[in-house]
Amino acid sequence: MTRNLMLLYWNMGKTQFRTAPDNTKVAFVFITIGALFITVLFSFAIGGMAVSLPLHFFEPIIPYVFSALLAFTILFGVPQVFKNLYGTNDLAFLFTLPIKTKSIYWVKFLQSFLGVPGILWVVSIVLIMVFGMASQASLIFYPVAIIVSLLIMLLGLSVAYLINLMLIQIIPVHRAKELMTAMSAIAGIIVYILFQLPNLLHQNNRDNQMVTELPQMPKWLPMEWGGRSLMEAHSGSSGFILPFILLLLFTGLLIFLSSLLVEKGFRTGWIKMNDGSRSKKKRKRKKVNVQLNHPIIAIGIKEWRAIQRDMREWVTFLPFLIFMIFPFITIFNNDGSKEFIFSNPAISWIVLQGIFLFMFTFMTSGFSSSAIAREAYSIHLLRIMPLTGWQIALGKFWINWLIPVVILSVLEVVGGLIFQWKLFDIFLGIIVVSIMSLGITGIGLWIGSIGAKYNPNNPQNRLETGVSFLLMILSFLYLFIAAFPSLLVLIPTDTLNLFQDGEKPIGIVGMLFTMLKWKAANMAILTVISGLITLLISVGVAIFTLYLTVIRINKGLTINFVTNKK
Amino acid sequence: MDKTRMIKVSNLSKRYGSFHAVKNVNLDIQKGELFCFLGPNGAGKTTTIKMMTGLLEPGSGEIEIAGTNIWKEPIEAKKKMAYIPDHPILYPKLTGREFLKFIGSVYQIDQQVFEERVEKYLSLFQLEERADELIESYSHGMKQKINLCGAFIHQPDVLFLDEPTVGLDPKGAKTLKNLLQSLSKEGMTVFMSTHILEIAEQMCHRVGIINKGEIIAIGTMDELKGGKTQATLEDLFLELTGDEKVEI
Repeated sequence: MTRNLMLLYWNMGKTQFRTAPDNTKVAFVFITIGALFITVLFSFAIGGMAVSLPLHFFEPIIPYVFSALLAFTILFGVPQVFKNLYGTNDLAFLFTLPIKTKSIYWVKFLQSFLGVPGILWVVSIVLIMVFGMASQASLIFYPVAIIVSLLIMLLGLSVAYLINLMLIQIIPVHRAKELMTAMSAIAGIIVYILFQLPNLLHQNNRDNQMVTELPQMPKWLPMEWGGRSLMEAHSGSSGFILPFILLLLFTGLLIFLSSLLVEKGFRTGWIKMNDGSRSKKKRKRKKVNVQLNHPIIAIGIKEWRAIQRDMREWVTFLPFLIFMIFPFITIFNNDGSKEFIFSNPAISWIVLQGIFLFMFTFMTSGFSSSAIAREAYSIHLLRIMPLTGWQIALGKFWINWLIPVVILSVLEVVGGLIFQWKLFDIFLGIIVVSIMSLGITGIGLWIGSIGAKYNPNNPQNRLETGVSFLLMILSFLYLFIAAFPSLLVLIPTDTLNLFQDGEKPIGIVGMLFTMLKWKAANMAILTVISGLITLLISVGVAIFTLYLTVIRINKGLTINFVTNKK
Repeated sequence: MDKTRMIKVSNLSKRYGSFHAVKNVNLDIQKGELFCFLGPNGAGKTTTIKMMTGLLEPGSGEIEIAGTNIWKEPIEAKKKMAYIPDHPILYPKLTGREFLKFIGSVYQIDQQVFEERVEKYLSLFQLEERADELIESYSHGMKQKINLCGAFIHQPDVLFLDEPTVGLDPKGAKTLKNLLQSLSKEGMTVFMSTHILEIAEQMCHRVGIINKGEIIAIGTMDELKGGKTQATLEDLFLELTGDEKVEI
């Protein structure tokens, strides 16, 4: 039956290509030529390196190359697998036929492999062959290389399958359809972790930046097994057998594990996704608060519910959090920097406030710029209701400002507990970044009102491309203008102690140095003035951009609905 | 029926390039009147309703809702009306009850009155059991019902409905018909587009037929029949819109 299904898909693929419009065929030809060109280019580069550089130069690099292959397979594989397992239209038909679920599953697995992983595999085979020939590898190297790269690809794909099959069971039914976007984000995080793994697992000193002295991969990682087996095979040694077998067994184990989840994860998961989202159990009626609010508050609460109940909204925060966590792991892995940061709460505070300020500026602007497009097709509702432009703008403004501020406050408290900041400093950090967020929320909202976009296939992509660039530029500009007085408030005067007696810094640091000296002499006045300037800039920008948003709303809000051409 | 004019449309037109979607439409609808707006597909019904509800800017002409120009004083006019589109537009991430609470807050209904009406309409449309579930889990008919609850909850002076019975089960459709008749008796003006001619025939005080953007007939059933007592609205409609030859 599996063979019949494979034949069916093969025939469908052929028909699809034969009946595709000419421009699709031309694009396909161009992509193929482009891929061939890149492969040839890389082949020359690798061949040249293999001829001129000693073999031990490549030894630490190969596991990294395998990490990259694995990472790309997972990155592209996770959303692709999700589509194959739960999103294709043929499944409704296939599940009604007398075909075993496992057969459908394996055909889908093969189908997934023939996409990006398959192309990556072919390209990697060509490059490894070139490397082998140029560096005069032993004959055994070639079959080992082909199988090892295949195993790495299958490993990546089975990880992608396992992620999908497990997540579909954990995530609540009514959120299953939001999984698609979450998948891409989760894949991105895995890729980032894979690249960071050697750094994170080493008590490092960073004096050596030579390629040959890259942090070595831990010996228990499959990418290391692949690299070792390749290098051993290169010299014709039988030492390749053990890491090869380990890689083979590990890949086999993951594929086996994924196949164990077929019934529970694939079939039941698909049913979950397609039978509507109603719980079979009768829910207990919760006592719902029906206290009516002011229209501005009601708009904010409605917006909050849309965010709170859609996991894709939270995914947009993930990159910021992840990129904040990793520097910490790196610091905690290094005894010297750990000791320094813990013995200087003033330094840890100021560094983190800088990071918070930078990240929250971009996070908040991106978040609030989605406020209009978040309405999607319901935008008509706002138009037919007796709501003024100010009511709509303010309703969206307060909630889009408050959510990042709450997240910031949690982070400030966590930071304060870890680094033992004073209570006043924690409070000051929250106040300053919250005030700065006012202006940037307004900018985001206004930008969202001039370039809102809704794409049902990619609902989180809510801004027109040109407008999103404008948002980025304005965010930078705002940060630059509004942050200067904030920095004066944030930087403690103790920082002056960092400079040696008689040392006079120049440029912006010099200007800050002078201002800090003034601040030390007139602490209260300068803090108040700086605080007031920050407040004025932020509130001023917020009011002005809100005014511009109101004009847009009164003219009639429009969202560019992207037509699904698939 | 009260003679107070609740909807006044004067010389309403809308063009899309060279295509004249709505041509010089004039309408006068009184308080408590149940007006049915008929026409073949693409005749201009939805375009006219969208202009009357402030969703689409007219090319030319004036629209007054309960004496207020919808394009000059939109907020005042919108306070007096509600609109139920053919495809329910709702917030999928709100529960039915939360949606009604949002409507109640926007229209600033009295808390006590709101609570009474919520229970009344949820029970009328048999939605009490599902009112605390997310709207995204509702069927088309249920979405339409909660949309209707939202419209009735603030008791508008004028109610616009575009194909309101699409997707409703027979009981829901019957409830809606009874409710509309009862509310129109209490003074609510109803402007409804429909393809179901029986509804127009049974319920409406007057019928307007639009074809190719122009009103081609308007009046009570008797006026439209013009003495042909045996004629049905279906016969009249097909005759007027030039589609009398129905081939199989």
